[in-house]
Amino acid sequence: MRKLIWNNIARRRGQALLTIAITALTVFAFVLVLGIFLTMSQGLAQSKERLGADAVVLPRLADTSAYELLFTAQPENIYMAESVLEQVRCIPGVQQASPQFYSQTLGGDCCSVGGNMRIVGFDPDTDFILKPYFSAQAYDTLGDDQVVFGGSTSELMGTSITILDEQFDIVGTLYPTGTGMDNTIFMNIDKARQITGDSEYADFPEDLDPFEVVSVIMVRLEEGADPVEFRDAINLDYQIPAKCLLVGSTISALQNQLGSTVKVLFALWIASLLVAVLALLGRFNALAKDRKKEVGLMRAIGIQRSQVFASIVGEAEVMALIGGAVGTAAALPCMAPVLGAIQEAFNLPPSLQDVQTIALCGAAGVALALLLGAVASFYPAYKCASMDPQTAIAQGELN
Amino acid sequence: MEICRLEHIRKTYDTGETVEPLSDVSLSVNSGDFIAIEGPSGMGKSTLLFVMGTLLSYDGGTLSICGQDVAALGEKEKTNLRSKTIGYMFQDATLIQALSVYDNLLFAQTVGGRLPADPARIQELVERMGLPERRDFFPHQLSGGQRRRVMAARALIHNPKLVLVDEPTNDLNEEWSQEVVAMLNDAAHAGAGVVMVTHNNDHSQSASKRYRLERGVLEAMA
Repeated sequence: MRKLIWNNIARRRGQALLTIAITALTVFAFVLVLGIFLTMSQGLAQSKERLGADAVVLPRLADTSAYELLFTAQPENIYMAESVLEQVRCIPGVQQASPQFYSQTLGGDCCSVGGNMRIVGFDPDTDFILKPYFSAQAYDTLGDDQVVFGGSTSELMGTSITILDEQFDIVGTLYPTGTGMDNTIFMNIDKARQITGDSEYADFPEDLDPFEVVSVIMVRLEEGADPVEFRDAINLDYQIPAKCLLVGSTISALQNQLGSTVKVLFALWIASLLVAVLALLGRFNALAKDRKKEVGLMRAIGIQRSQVFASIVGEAEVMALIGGAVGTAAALPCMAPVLGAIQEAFNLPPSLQDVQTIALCGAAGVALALLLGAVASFYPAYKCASMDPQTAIAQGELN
Repeated sequence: MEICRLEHIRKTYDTGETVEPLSDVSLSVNSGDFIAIEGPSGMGKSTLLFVMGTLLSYDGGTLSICGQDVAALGEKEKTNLRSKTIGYMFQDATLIQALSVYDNLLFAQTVGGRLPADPARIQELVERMGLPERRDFFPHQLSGGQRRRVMAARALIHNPKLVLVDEPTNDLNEEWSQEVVAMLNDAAHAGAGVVMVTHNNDHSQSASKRYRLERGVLEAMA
């Protein structure tokens, strides 16, 4: 029976290729959309989890969106008085508040890093964002001549670099987060302040003392504290020269944006799926009709109805499997460039593909192909298998 | 030993008007019989073979094969009965198009657990039908006569008790017509009951019993 199935496919090569192509295209679109959706959702969920802060407090007049601050490595030289830190700590519901100082490298001042990179100075005494990453690696604290690079620059680990005229050893990298942290250099806050103040290239405002300002304050709220109340406590109190952005609502907004994008893509895919199901139904109906006389003969010589049914569905499933494998194999390498293009077009944060997502998409693609083959072939196979042998022989044509 | 028994079989078709190709057909096929059924075209000879082969239901009378009342059998049992007991040769050239000559015969030999694969038996029939060089050819690569010879081999490949053949010499030249009829005769001598529908008087001369089907009734011929 296996030989019969395979020979039937090979014999009608043109028709088989058409069936395989329809399945492959449908699966290709499905795997692509699914892969993009999963990767971006996971990226956002991971960002939320890994950022660790519930809110970010930054200078009230800073012309910076939460998106740019959290998801891009765009250098943001924004500063406010360090006294804001104490004002923030006094707001009810604050569990932890840790300052960060932002600066930037200069294009060409480092042999290993091209262009401008964001420098983040963090306070080792109060930090709760980076320490979890550090403790999972081989170091707990940083010396004044040590820096840690974000996740996407791991190849630099163990080398030395010059940043704003000072030499640093790169002692570690962070896990990729899919956020701006991946393209950032981290060092102790006082060191960042010192090299920024000392450098004539850092573009630091002359009227400020770097040791008296911070760029942002990362805030973790107590469990049960209302983030909106916290935000309003800062944003509506004009005594505080700062504003608050909530990480959760920023990510939720992005998730909604992603959801809408994916809904449109899925709607288009569903339309193409319906066309594919109809086309395959037509294909397998024709296949069953072509096979009428042969089925009558097979029934006459002793093949059970269930075996006729299995042979037709089997033929459909073999073609579907090939189509599914081809569609999946074609879609997986396309995922990264399409993902990049969508992120750029819709201004969404970058996401990282992992092996599990790719494997899941691959498996889902093949499963969809098999389901498609089954759905499209069950009725024609049933109709063919149920036919009276004499009617099949009398009505059928041999092809 | 009686292999097949038909008693007062009636079959009607409703095609706008009611046609009754079989009004009252009774026949007994015993082991060793080679029965020829003659008659003008369109008189129901093929219908009779389809009924005897359990491929077509009948409207009245009794049909039993190897002692089993066919009316009492379900679809699965009828398929098993066909698989184990009956060999067909249809009027139309019907072979499985996706299988070679050898594989068509192997498929027919082993289908539904009929027999274990016996390449020697396949080779014997292929040689007898003059097709040793065509055994790996597919049906579309054969002439009408060659396909007919493969069908004859297929009908006998599993040594059935009842052999039903419909115009077996269509598409064949005289030499191969005689060889196919001789092969059917051999099957009867080996203990099968053979029923051959033909319009060729010369070939029906070889039969041990001859009948004529006319107006839905079988009449024995001298």
